[in-house]
Amino acid sequence: MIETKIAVRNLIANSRRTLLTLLIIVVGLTAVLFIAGYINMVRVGFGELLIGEKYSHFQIYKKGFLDTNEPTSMAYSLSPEETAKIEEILSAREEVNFILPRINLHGMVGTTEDSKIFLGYSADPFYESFMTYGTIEQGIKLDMDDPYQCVVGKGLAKKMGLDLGAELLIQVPNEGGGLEAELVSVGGIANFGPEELNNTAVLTSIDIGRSLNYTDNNQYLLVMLHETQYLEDVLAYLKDEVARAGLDLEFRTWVEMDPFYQKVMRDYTFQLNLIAGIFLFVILLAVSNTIYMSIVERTPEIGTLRAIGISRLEIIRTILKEGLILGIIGVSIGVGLAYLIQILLRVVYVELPPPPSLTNPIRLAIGLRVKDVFMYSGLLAGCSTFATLFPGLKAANTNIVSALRHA
Amino acid sequence: MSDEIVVKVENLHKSYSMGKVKVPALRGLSYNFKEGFTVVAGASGSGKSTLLNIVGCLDLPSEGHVYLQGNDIAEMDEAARSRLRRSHIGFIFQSFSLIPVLSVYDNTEYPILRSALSKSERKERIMRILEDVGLGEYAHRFPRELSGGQMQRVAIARALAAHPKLIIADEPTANLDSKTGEKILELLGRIQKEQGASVIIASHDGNVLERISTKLFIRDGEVCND
Ligand SMILES: Nc1ncnc2c1ncn2[C@@H]1O[C@H](COP(=O)(O)OP(=O)(O)OP(=O)(O)O)[C@@H](O)[C@H]1O
Ligand SMILES: [Mg+2]
Repeated sequence: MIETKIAVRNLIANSRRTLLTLLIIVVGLTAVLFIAGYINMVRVGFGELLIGEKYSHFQIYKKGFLDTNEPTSMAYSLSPEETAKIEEILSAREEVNFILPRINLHGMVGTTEDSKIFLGYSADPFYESFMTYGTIEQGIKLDMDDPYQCVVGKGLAKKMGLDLGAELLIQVPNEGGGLEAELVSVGGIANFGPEELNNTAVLTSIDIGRSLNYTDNNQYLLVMLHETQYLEDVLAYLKDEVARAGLDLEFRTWVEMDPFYQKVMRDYTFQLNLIAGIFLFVILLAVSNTIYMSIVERTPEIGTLRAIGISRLEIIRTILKEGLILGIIGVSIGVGLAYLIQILLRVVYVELPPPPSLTNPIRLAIGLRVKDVFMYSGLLAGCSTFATLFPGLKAANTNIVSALRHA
Repeated sequence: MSDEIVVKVENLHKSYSMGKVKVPALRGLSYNFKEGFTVVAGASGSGKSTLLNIVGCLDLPSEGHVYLQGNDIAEMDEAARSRLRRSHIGFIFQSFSLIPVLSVYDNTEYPILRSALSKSERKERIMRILEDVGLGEYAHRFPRELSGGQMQRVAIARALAAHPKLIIADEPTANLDSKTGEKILELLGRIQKEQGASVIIASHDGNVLERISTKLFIRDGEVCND
C-alpha cells in the first residue's frame, strides 16, 4: 500500500516524464491492437468468403482419395449408403446447415462447331445454390428440376458462342481410355472471377456427374455449418461417430484446403508480431529510462529508506510498481482507444483501395479479439514492469552511506 | 545514569578508497557507548559520521568489531542489519531526509508499517509521537510545507516510531538556526529521558557540547583524550 502510494506519487511528481512514457505505451498498444484488429477482420472476412464460395467448412472423402492426387478419380468415392450414414450422423447436430455432394469433372465440352477443355464439378443443384461461387450473369444457377441444365463461365460462353439454351456435349475420359458423354444445355452463364476460370468452368448437376462416371456414388461431401465457430466441435463429433460406425473416411477443413490463406495469415501475423516486438523494445527503453532517471534523482531518498531499515525487496517492489502502474494505465488507455477506433470505424466510412484480387474498394474496419487484447495488453504491461527491474535492482543496491552523503 | 554499555566498538578501522588511494577515516578506535546521551565531537573530517554510520549498521568497518545487543554487526548480513536498523535504531540526519511524496504521518509511520502493530495501534502511537514533537496538527502536511525545524522534528518522530533502543543523530542541528537547534536538542534530551533510549549525536556545535556531559572526542579517526 505504502509502496503503491510512493510509486503513484512519484509518477505524479514527475508528471511530464510520466506522461511521455504513458504516451509511448498508449501509442504502442493502440497501434498493435489496431493492426491486430485489422488482420482479424481480414482473416474473418477472407475466411468466410472462402468458406461460402469454395470450401464450405469441411469436406468429407473416402479414405485414400486424397492420396490419389487425382481430383476426378472415382476409385475412392462414397456409396449412397455411406452418404446416408454420414447424413444421419450429422443430422444429430443442429450446427450443421447442409451437406452438399459433389463430383469433380475434367474433360471436353463441344458444340457442333467447336470443342474446348473444361474444368468443373457436378453438384446437388439445391444445395449448390447456397454456395456463392460464380455470379450468374445470364440465366440461373443449376436447375433443381432439370438435371440437363449446366452453368458455364462467361469466357467459355463467349469463345464458343454459347447462349442460354445452347446444346453442349460434355465428354470425360473413362478408365478404359475411352470417353463418356452427356448432352446438356446451357442454363446459366456466370462470372467466376479470374479469367482462367471464366474460360474453363462448367458446373453440372450431380446426376450428370454420376452418369458420366457410371455410378451412384458421390465423390465427396461439403459440409456447411451455421457458423464457423462450431467447426472443431462438429468435426470432432463426426470423427468419433464415423469411427464407431466403421466408416473409412478422411476430412479436410477449409483452412487445410487453402495453403495460400494460411500463408497470408501467417505472414500478416508475423508482421504484426514484429511490430509488437519493436514497440515492446521501445517501451522497454522508455520505461527503463524514465524510472532510471527518477531513481537517480531520488538516490538520497532511497538511501534514507534503506537507512531506516526498509529492505531491498521493498525498494525493488516500490520501483516495480511504478512500471506496473505505468503499464496498467497505459494499457487501459490503449485498449480504450483501440475499442473507440473500432466503434468509430463502424460509424465513419473510411475507404481503402481494393486489394489485388478484388475490384471494389473496401471499407476500413477492425475487429478486436478479446484474446489479442489480453495478449498484447499483458505483454506491454509486463514489459513496462520488467523494464523497471534493472533500475529497481540498482536502487536496491544503493550504497546507503554515499547516498546520504549526497543528501 | 546507568553504566550499562549500549554499543561497544573495538579497534575500529575504516578507510575509503578513492580510486587507488585509500583514505583512512577511522584508525583503531575503541569505545564503550553507555546508556544515555553521548556526543561525538571532533573537527570536520575527523571521522564522526564514519563512526556513527558503522555504529548505526549503515556501514561496515574495514577492521574491528561493533557489538550491539551482544551481536557483532560485522558478522551479520545486509538483510539482518536492515532488520536491526528498522527495529532497534532510529536515525536523524543533518539534511532531515524525509520522503517528499509522503505526508508527515506517512513518513513517521513508514518504519513500523510492517511491524506486528495493528493499524489503530500504529495510529495511536504515531499521533502520540507527533504530539510529543509538537507536530500533532501537521500530520497531513507534506515535508515541502514545513520549516527546517519542523522537518527535523518529523525526522525525530520517525526515528522514535519503532521505539528504538538507540538513536543516532548525525549533526541534527547543523542545518538549523541556533534557536531552532536548541529546541531540537531539548526535544532529544527529553525523549531520551522519557523513552529510555540511548542517543549518540555527532556535532561540532559548541551549544551541543555544553549541554551533554558524556563526550567522545575524536581526532583523525582516533579517540582523543585531551
Ligand atoms: N565515501 C567516502 N569516500 C571517501 N572518503 C570519505 C568518504 N566518507 C568520508 N570520507 C573521508 O573520511 C574522513 C572522515 O569523514 P567523516 O565524514 O566521517 O568526517 P566527519 O567527522 O563526519 O566530518 P564532518 O564534520 O565534516 O561531517 C574524511 O577525510 C572524509 O573526507
Ligand atoms: Mg559528518
